[in-house]
Amino acid sequence: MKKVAFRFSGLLVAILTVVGNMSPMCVLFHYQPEVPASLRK
Amino acid sequence: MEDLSYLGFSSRWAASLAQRHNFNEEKQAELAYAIEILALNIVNTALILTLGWILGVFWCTVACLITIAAFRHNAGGGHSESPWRCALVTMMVFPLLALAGRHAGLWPSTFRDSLTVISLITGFALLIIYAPVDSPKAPIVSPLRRQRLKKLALSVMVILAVIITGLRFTSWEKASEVRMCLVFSVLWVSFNLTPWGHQFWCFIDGFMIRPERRCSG
Repeated sequence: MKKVAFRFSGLLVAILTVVGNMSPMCVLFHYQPEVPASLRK
Repeated sequence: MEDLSYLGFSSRWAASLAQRHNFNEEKQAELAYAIEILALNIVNTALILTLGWILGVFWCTVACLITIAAFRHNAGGGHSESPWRCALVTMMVFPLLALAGRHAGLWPSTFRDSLTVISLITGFALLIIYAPVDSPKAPIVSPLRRQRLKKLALSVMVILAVIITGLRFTSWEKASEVRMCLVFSVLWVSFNLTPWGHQFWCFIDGFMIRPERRCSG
């Protein structure tokens, strides 16, 4: 499992980057994690 | 990493990815944020759909989820300070909206139509007055983005109004209960835009009204 995660970590980072940039506001529910300064727009 | 408070698993996972790819602290914070957003939304969605399925209102719950997701991403609204309290409340609210929709689907046509009109007027009015509602943890810094979000939120409301009106005149047997689910969802998201919505979440957070939150409206 760790090996697979390690191998696909680049893809994971790409997906997370898209998610972070897409959702600087809470998407669906009622808890808002703090948005890093670099993602605030 | 920036001094931001994320759940343990998000921080650890982001740290591990950052180490692997030699990212700086700023990028690590972005990853932690994305992991948290993704994980909380997936877990909450799964819990809500499971409860909806157990209560026999799975598809009505899906209708409520889609409606509210379309709104909240553009319009924002009140938030809880804790992911666990948020999960608990939203896990109950969505299936309750679905149950209410199913029940209201059996009401006489006059009541359903009146509630539909009230919901659409309330939805449009509160979006025009309040949207987009940001929070101190996710401020909208660009006036242009604020304008764009307002336009998007109003566009979503127009599309919903068309769908709700269409469901009023269709002969589909489930149309009535789905329409009422959409109507209740619009009322719920509209309520969350108001100062009362913020006060509700303050109340949920344990009767503590914190000055940095927009509780006083």
